[in-house]
Amino acid sequence: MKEGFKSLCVSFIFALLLCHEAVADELVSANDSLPPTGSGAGYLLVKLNVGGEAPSIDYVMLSSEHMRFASKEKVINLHFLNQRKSKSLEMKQLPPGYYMVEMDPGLYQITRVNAPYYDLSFWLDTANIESWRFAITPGAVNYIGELVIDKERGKNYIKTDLYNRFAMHKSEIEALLPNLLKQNPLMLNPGYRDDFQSALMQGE
Amino acid sequence: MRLIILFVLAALNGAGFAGSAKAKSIASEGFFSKSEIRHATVSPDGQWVATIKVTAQGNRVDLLNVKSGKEVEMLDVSKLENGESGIRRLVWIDNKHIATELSEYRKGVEDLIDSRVSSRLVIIVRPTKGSDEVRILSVRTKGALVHALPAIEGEFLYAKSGAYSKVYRLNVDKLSLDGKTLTKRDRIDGGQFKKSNEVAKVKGVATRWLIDEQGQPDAVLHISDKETLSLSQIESKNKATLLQSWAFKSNRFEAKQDDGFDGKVFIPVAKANEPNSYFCFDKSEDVQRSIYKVNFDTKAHEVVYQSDSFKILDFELTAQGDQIIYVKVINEGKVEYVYTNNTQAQSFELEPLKSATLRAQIGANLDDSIKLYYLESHNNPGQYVLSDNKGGNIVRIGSILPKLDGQLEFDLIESSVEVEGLNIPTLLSIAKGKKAAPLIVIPHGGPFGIFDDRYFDRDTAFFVSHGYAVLRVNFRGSGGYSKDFVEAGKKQWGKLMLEDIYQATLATTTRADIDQNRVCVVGSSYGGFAALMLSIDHPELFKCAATLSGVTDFNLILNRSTNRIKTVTWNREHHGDPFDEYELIKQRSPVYLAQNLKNPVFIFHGEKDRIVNVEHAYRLKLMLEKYNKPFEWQIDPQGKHAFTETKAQTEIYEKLLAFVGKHI
Repeated sequence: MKEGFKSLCVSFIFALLLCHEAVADELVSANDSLPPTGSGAGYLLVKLNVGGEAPSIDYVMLSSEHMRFASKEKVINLHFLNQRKSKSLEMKQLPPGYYMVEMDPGLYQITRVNAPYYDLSFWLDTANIESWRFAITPGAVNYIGELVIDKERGKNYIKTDLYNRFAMHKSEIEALLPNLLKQNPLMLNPGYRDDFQSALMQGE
Repeated sequence: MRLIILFVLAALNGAGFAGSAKAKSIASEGFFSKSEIRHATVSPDGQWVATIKVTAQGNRVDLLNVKSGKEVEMLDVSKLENGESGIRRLVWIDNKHIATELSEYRKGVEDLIDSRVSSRLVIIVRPTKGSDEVRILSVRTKGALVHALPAIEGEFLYAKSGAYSKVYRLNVDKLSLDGKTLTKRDRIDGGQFKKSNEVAKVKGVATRWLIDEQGQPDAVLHISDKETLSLSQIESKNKATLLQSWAFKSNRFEAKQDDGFDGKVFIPVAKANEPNSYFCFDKSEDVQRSIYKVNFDTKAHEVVYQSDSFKILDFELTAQGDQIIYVKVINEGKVEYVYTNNTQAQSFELEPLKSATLRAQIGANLDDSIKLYYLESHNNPGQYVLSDNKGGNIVRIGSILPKLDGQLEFDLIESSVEVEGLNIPTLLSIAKGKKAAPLIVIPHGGPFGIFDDRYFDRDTAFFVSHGYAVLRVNFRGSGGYSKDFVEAGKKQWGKLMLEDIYQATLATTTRADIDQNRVCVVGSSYGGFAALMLSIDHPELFKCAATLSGVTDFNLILNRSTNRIKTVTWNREHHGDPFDEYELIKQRSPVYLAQNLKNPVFIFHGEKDRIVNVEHAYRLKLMLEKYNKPFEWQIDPQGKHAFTETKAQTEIYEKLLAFVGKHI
């Protein structure tokens, strides 16, 4: 593709952590013994493939309404979001695999990806990038993609991706969570419109 | 596309053979063998040619005695740097010394791997009479070669950057052997970094010195403060005058004041041989694929080179500073040399120069009587030759794909077709004397700014040698023609771009030497998308389709997590808005049209593809299974977007040939 011939490295901001507070949520390894959520919450499901010292993501809720994606105007307003309201998901020393956490329903923005290097804080600012979103539908297991933070890095960059790999992972997830998915069905829930799952299930 | 360097090796068995006596004589592995030579350079006296050879271990420098034809190894880089170093530059200092800029891939600390690339300079000392020993000297002081000063024996220019950046004139005789432990009496680099050896200096970190045709520093690009890049002209050894400056913020360059270039941000890369003229990159260009010649006085500027596909990293000029010899481009993290057709205006009466469509003069001896050329054409993958001024007295130096030397005999027919008011150029490759050949259409990737040229194309040659005719179409949006032609592709990725290819195919199938009932479409990346869509839209014409690293759901491209704000904006203008135009995007995405596929599909994708997520292949697979459509597929767990790994290349082309052979 056009920008395929650009460097695939993601530029990182190198700066001191200033006034950054985040409440941590805890990811647990996805397993079929997890209790189903009620109607007031949903599971976030993410595949992790992260390296480095203590990777984590910060996120904020954009809307508590039951909506799958926001308007473009919402994106612009993100600049003014108070970082102090953000929460974080810690991924330190988590081996590759599927992870879950119960969350309130709504539309969320991943505001930054943290990849600290010993006592230096590297992060990727994603607050204004629509593709770094996810949505939580209540009573569902919400697949948001595969988060990759490369172990290999340069002085001012690191490769970071949030891959939408629903079709690739679908059968793995169904095999991993056969009983839970009966109670909380699997939903493809990136924070942007993606009709693939409904097209696949059409007529079933 | 023209790939000068193909880092592939394969041993194909000719599956799916379409029938050609000529083709049977060419082993398939010849197409996918690792290229033999990466670059060559001739000595100032014209008696020696140094070549960069590509080996399984890495890069090697060989030296050819032009008179005797004897070739000897000078430097195996893998032995210096644990097999992880390449050669960034190879240039003669004089008839005895070859400067070799090595790139080192540094692996780093504990859990995190620091893969910064750094470089250092070693000097190869050619054995002379009475000695067989090759000596390797090195410059231990961190810096970079600025100019080899080939007319001055034993001397070269070397730059050090810092709070003040300086260019020094160094003498090779004072350098130490590479790796030698220095004693207390030894001075690093012979103590040559001293005031008396200074040639030029400037305040701030110099990022590039621009040298004139006499080998004198003309200007320098330097970081004058934290967020400013400046261009200063060198007036004298101690004086530099500011010419231009740019702000550098958030990874973007911006002119500090209205500079008369209408938003283009021209950053000089080399001095042109006219006053105040420089060869420049335009930093406002979406992907750095153009080189401009810019006069900073008159503001006149013109594109002098445009890459057909990849981002340009750097380029090298002729000694006269008037023409580009080669550009270095980046493809999947690998640096490739692409030579330019810089002798187009000259005519030659003797072969092989006469018939080469790409004839790049890449070097000459000091008095310009012996010239080194790189030659290429649609049926010549590339060769290096020495010649006199008239194109005679040819000495063959080597070939890119030696097993194909003189083996390919096919025609390239350039034509065009008019579609919706635009003239769409086409390239048809077909074996000589072929009657009713089956046709493979290969749409290029991109789609914007990329184009197919008339030089060697490996895929085309491969299929033609197996009895197929191959059609390539520079549909609207392709580069290499005009800005308007590129802009005509806006939001046409699922419409007129495909119509261009379809109409070009229809026109081609009216030819007597093409079998209109045996047409298949094969493409990579956007070309893979085009292949699927053409097969969906026109099943009566395209009897099969193959998508390699192909896009199947355009929405995924528009929502890639690697898309920065600038890319998102560009995508909305050129491809569409995933919010407002989602339905349109969906209606022209193969995943959602899978039920309409009537003919067989071949899918190949690399799992490590970061440009077109492997999800595209999985989505198509699930939908084809849902609708019970025939397809073949393969995922390469180590594969990236482009095919660079030997094993994957071997497998994919073997299967692809069999697939096409089965269906047309």
